[in-house]
Amino acid sequence: MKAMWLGMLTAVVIAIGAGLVLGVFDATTGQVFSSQSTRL
Amino acid sequence: MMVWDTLRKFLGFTGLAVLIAYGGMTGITGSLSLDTDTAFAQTGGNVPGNSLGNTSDSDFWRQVRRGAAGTVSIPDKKAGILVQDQGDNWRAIRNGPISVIGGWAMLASLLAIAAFFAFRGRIRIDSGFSGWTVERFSFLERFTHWLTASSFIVLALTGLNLLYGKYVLMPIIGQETFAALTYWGKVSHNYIGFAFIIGLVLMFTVWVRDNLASREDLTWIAALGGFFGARNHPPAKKFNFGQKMVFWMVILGGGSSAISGLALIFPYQITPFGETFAFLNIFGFGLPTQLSVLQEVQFSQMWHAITALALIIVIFGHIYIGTLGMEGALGAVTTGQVDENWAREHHNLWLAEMESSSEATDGTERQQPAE
Repeated sequence: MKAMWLGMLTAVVIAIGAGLVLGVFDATTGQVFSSQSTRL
Repeated sequence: MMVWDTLRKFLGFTGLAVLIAYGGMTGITGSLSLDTDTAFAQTGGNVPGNSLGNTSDSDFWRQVRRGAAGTVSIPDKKAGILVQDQGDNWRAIRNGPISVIGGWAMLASLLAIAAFFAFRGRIRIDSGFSGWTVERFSFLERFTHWLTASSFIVLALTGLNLLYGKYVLMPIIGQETFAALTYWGKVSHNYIGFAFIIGLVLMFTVWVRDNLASREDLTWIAALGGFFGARNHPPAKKFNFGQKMVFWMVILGGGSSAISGLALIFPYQITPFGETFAFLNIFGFGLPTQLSVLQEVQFSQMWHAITALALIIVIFGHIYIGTLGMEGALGAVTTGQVDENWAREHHNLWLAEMESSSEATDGTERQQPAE
């Protein structure tokens, strides 16, 4: 069961990491990648 | 006096009737002098006559309405297109065929699973539990499964909310709660997608060798996977043909969905459809290849939804057969252990390989007892 919980936890950690990276990217470039997809 | 009164009334009515008729005619002709000249069409955008503001911009606005692009100096280049009319088509397809067919397909798949369960019941281990287990999946394999599965479940729920939540959830939880849920769901969707992509890469690396086609697949297909009728177990290695199909649908469908998802997050950097259409045109499809960024985004969104809905339907079946549908299967991805009889019935060739390799390495026939 450890592998199961570790897999789920890793998914959360990767998501938080991606959020941080994209957030920093947005802040430094002035672009807002994560909200562009809503502007159809 | 009577004559004067009658004459005065007659003139009054007649005058009023003439006034009404004149007013009507001037309204129709647009001329105080009731000029009946033929109306002239606009030429070069100029309205004929001496009217004020005689330049018509109808052609200009018609082009704007049909997606004519201008130039802007701000970072958001999409602002150069004031009205992107392909959005009408995109919205119609998204809210029409994709949502409707997708919804019915998901419902039909759930009903098919329920019907199969009613007909077949739970697939039991025919020879019962042996009490001995064998390791079906290693720590890395289980980790990979749950990294991909947990991220997929979040992606599926938050994605379905974007497509159907307005109709299903909002009437129940209210607009404000739904708005907050959808906002955070969308943020989660964007970020957890990266976990899913990493899971897919790991999954491909770990399992691709066992999911290549083999001769036993034909036997499995001929026996309809052994799903119909007890004690019908076609031979299989580590993965049978059905599992291989799930694997490749997850890799290809999930991979395709992931690329279109990345294109939605990075619309200027990732524009896959123009090139894909150019490739398909080799086979005579005649698809447009010069796509604007917004068109790329619209195609990405539609493809993302289609592949995701198809994958959700596949995973419905996968979850069913791994839990309720088959006795003894779930342990493979939780503890990694499956009963030896289960392995012998469903993956006899793999078990034989495991036993022979185990004997070759340490001389033991079985790995560990079940309890």
